[in-house]
Amino acid sequence: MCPSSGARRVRGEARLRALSARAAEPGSLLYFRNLTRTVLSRMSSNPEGAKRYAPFVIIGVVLAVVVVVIALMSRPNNANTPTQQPTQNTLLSSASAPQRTPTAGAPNPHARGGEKAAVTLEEFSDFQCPACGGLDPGLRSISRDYGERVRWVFRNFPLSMHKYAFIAARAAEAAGAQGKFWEMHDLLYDNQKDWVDAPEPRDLFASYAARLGLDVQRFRADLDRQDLADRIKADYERGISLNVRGTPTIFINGRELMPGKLPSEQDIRREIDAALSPAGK
Amino acid sequence: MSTEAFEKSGARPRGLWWDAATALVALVGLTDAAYLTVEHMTGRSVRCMIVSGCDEVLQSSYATLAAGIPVAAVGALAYFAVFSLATLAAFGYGGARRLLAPLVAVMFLATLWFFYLQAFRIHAFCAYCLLSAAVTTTLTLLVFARRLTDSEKRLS
Repeated sequence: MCPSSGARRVRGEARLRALSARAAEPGSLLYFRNLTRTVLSRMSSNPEGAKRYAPFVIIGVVLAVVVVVIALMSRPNNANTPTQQPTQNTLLSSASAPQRTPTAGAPNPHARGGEKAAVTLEEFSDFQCPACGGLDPGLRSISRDYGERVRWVFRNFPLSMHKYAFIAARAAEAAGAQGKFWEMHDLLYDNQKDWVDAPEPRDLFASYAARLGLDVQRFRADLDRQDLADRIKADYERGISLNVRGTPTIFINGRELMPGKLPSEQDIRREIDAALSPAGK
Repeated sequence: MSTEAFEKSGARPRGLWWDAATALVALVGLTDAAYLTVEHMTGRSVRCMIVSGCDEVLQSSYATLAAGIPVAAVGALAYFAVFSLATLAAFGYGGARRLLAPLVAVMFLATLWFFYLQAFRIHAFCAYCLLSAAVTTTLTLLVFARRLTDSEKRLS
């Protein structure tokens, strides 16, 4: 070892002693500052010490980065909140024109509420989607509370990844052919867990039809009716033309609510209230 | 980890590259699991999407443990543990290396279970979960191949 490096080492140790003499109460800011200085000075003055502490520094840095990234990414995305769009006190998309002209969807769509309601809530939904099943009781409660003031339009958006979504939509349409679309809609969501796991859901759907007092034979035949399947496809096409990418997707008076996210019942109520208030009209 | 386990023997600890590779692969797993944890917590994957991704898997009841803890978060912790142990081992803490093998073995068993769940229970595969399975398999190969080469060296 050359004399100069020996002298450096002695100076480094003297510095360490001075630092430890000033050590503050554990937990205090000064304590952590001194600790950091101790570690860094040891690392710079003593290669073996550097090797000893370096892994802890690396682990600490990785932990800090992961925690910060998770915390930042987990924050609710407020891209459409009033703070960032002060002129628009709403969670609705900022009405950017759709890329193509929306198609009409199935004629005479199934709707609950007032024909001439001030607010139209258009829902794109998949009977097999658990998130749609989760939101449905909230939508029903909204429909009950707002009554004639809100028109709730149901649009079929069966996703190909759900193997029974299309046949379930056909079941709802077949019940609709006998005037009981909404009753079947409610039963399908209420019993989603049962028929999703069934080897053949048609029998279960027929049992729901019987429970609703429908003509079961006609219901079974209507499950294969092409014009009813075409209604579902027309709704789906409308969703695609409106840039719907998942379910449930809610439009309030033609504008998508919280695009890309799952709105809660409260979010929907807030938007309906805003649309019903004089300023929102 | 006590500093007594620190190997003072040589300038370069044995099998540095094995440990460094293990730490790097674990970092990939940690990033993946952290992303899945965020997806789970923000509920972005709770909707059903046209392009089937991880929503089917993350929505399933298997994605959450009893206390509401996301499985992905446990995975992130496990990858972080592997990363930490491998980093310590790379810097000469021999004790850390001994803990790696049992931890990775448990993770590999968990991976097999998750693969079974995706294939036979949920009937959907999530690309990020498959990446995690690939990472854990690589970790298992790294850790056990390294043990094999070590024991061969000892024998010779």
